[in-house]
Formats: sequence, C-alpha cells, structure tokens
Amino acid sequence: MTAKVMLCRCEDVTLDEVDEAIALGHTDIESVKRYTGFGTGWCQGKQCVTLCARVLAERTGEAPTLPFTPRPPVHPVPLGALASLGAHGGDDDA
Amino acid sequence: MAPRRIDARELPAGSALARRLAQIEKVARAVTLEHDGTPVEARAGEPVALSLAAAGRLTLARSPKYHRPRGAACLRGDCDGCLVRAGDQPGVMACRLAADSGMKLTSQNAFPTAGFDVFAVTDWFFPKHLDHHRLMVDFGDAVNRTMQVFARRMAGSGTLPELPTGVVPHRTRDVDVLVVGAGRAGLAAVETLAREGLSALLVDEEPAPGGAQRDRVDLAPERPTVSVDAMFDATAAATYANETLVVQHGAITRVTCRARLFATGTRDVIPAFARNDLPGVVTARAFARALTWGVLLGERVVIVGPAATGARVNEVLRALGVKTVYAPDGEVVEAHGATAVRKVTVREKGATAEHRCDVLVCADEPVPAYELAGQAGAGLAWDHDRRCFAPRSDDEGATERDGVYVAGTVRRRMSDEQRSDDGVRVARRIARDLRGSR
Ligand code: FES
Repeated sequence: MTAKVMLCRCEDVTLDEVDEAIALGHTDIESVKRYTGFGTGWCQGKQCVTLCARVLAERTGEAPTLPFTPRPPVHPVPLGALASLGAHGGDDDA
Repeated sequence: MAPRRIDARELPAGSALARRLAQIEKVARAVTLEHDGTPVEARAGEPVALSLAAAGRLTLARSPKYHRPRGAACLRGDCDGCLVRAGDQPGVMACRLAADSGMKLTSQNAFPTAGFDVFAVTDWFFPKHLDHHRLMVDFGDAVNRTMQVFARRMAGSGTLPELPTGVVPHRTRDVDVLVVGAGRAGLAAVETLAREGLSALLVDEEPAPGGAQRDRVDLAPERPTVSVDAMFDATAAATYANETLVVQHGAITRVTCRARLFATGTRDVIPAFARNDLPGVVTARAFARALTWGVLLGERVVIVGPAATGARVNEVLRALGVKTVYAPDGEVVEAHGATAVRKVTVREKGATAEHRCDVLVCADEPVPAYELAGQAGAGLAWDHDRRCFAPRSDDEGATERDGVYVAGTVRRRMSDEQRSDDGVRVARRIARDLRGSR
C-alpha cells in the first residue's frame, strides 16, 4: 500500500490532507474536522484528535484550540437497544 | 514468520507471565470458529481478534476510502481496526468479542475478502489523498451523482442483519454515585464510597476488574474483589446531566445518580508515520495483552517508544528467545509492507536504521481517555508535556461541572499506589459534597 501517514483511520484522513486544510487557513481543530472529516467516524475521535492536535501544535507553534465536544455514543450502540428508550421500551414505562 | 501461541513452559518457571499462562492452560477449552469460510481453532473466552491473529489472520477489514488493510492495533476497543461481522451483526469489535464455538465471522467493507480486496486500487489512484471537496464538485452534476452512488456502495461499515432485531427493553438503576472504570482508582473509590454509606454502581468495559493492571506482563494474575454493584463488559456510552446510558450485551441500562466519577484511565495512540495503519503495527499494551492470553504476535519484533510497557514486553521477549530491536528513545520514520508490516525505519539518537520485522510495537506514552468526562461537561486543557488533552480538575478531582469528578490516570501520570490514593481522595470529596447538598 502507498506511504500515506494516516491521522484518522476511521475516515481515512491523511497528514497530507490536514496539511492542506492548514494551508487553506483552517488552524483550529473544529475547522480542520469540518474540512477533512477527521474524527467523524466510528471512534468519534478517540485516536485522531490527539494526532491532529499535535500536528496543529507543530505547524502553528501554539497550543491547539480545545477539541470539539466528544459526542455520544462512546462505542456504537445497536438500534434495537436505543429503540427501547422511546415510548414503549423498558420496565419503567410499562 | 507468523504469530503463534506460546505456553507457560517456554517462559522462566515461576515468572508472573508463566503463572498467568499456566492458569489459562488449565481451563482452556478448544473451540472452532469460522472466518470468511475458513475454520479457525480458538480457545473459548479469549478475544476473537487474538484467535484470528494466532491463526495468522491479521487483516480483518478494509478502510472506507482507500480500502487499505485494517487489523487490530489496540486490542482494547479504541482503534476500531478489528471490526468484523459476527453472525449477522455488523461492526462488532473482534477484540471485545469472546470466542465461542461455531461463531461465524466475516470481513467487512471488502470485496471479496479483507485479505484480497480489488478496491485497494483506490489507494494507488490517490497516492496522497482523495480530495472529496474537488472530486465531488468540479465535474458537474451527473458525475457527482454517479460518484456518490459508487462511494456509498464502497464505504460504510458492514452489512445490516438479514432480519430486523426488534426492540431490546432497557432497565433503570438509581444510585448515589456512578463510577466508570474499574482500575485501581475506580476500585479504591467504590470501596471508600461504600464506607461513607453511599450507594455506587461500578461500570467497566472489560470482562473483569483490574483496569490497566490486566495487561501487565510483569504482575501475577490477580482478581480484585468488588464489594459494590458492578457491571462488566459494559460501556457507559453516553452521559447527560440527568442520566447515563450503559450498554451491556446489547441492552441499555439508564442510570440516574447524584454524582458521576470518571476513572477512565488512558488510551494508547499510534503516532503519525508513513503506513502507521499497516496490520502488525500495534500498541505496546496490545502486544502485552496478547501475551497474557498466550499469543505471541510476531517473531521479529521492533519496539519503539519510552512507555514502561515497551520495556516490560522487551524483557518477556528476551526470556522467550525472541529477537527484538528495542529503541526507547527512538522514533518511527516509516513502516514498510504491502498488507502487513515487514520492515521499519527507526531514527534514534540522530541515526536512522532499517529493521526487518513482523510486528512493530509502538510504546508511546498513553493519553487520557477524557471523552466521557468531556461529554459530561468537564473542561479540558492541552497538556504541553504530554501533548494531549486532559480534563481539568482541582486537587480532589472535582471538575468545573457540578457532580462530575475524575480520578486516576485520566487526570495525570500516576504510580500504581498514587492511583489508589487518588480514588480514595476523590471519593471522600464526593461524599463531602453530597452530604453538603442533602
Ligand atoms: S478496537 Fe479492537 S483492536 Fe482496537
């Protein structure tokens, strides 16, 4: 396979792509996320936020901006389980 | 050479790992799984990712855009490199799935299988990256729409079950304190809370308590006792001001509580270098965890990075007679290989060298698992020394959000003893705050 440096495995976002985003003026984590889509995959940033923040810190020479709020769920949840949170689900709604 | 199983007798008699393996061997029960139609021998109860690795099956899926091979890298539910279809359930983490007889596993997002995937050409077509901003807009509407259909078919995570699964009813629980993480800090905290007369529920993703201790190749097996209500194999998946959703075996428990304590420990990261996503590139704790299950992930091992786990793993490998290259102060420049790591370029003390290997162990210092505390509203700060984010807390683990606390290594680096002390300290603070608010 080619010599890509993978910053976000879930969404296949490379170092090259993040560098392009930075060159276009996206120097905070949120904007880089919106431009490249990193952190929007299966792991919701558990691996990639640290790597992207480190790249930003290196390129800008400053502490990176705070990351986007980690969104639930921490791991994917089956829809069948979530469905019970509606009107007719659990023991408290009987 | 490929990964293989090791047994207790290959290790120095009486060593911590030898004792662990002897214990496993005593109760081991052989079962047969199926992966992409091929039978795979396994031991009941071990992580399926390790059964597959021991059978030389490292490539478990393909990545969404470039269809690069993906394999288990962390073995603790953090990297999502190990996703498989188990039975008709897509997106199951093979590192968190306990092997059982007759399991049918299939690779995801791969045509026809993860081992050989025709769409890997995408990787070569776009050697730097696939710029979806331009690719999708510059060629006009029709091309755009065709590309979207094509992209949708190629991407995604697995195939839905044949039949709808139906609604799985949820349960509810109400306690004084919800504690997430059953490592040293979490365990010390729940004991203290019980002594303070508070009810607590302990939740952990692992099948048993112990936290980071569970992956220690230098410690004898130990099964800490838990005196409070606890849910293992359970993920606190979402936390809100009024409730936390805990998912265990596909069912949700809605937990309401007066205080939430996150003792979530740390995660491992694989740093940025060329082909850092190759199967066979693993974290030090993943390699150590495999050893504790009696699986040696490779016969030629390069270990790079300063974390203590790297040194411990190196020691075990020397005892096993496995050749290692150990570069605690080194830095990986590039990994090489087509579908699995075969060679690695390492820079150490100004010199660059290439080493043949079948596993690259990244022993970087782990970073705080701040996600749940962050969801709960704890503030975060950039840690300049460790180059990572960590939740902000006062001396006693209180965050800036009322009722949200952190303890243990999610806050900062701590020795084993400091973790327990921290759990006690933060639990006492919680007890004080809750009495005050009554
Ligand atoms: S999530 Fe299973 S190996 Fe990383």
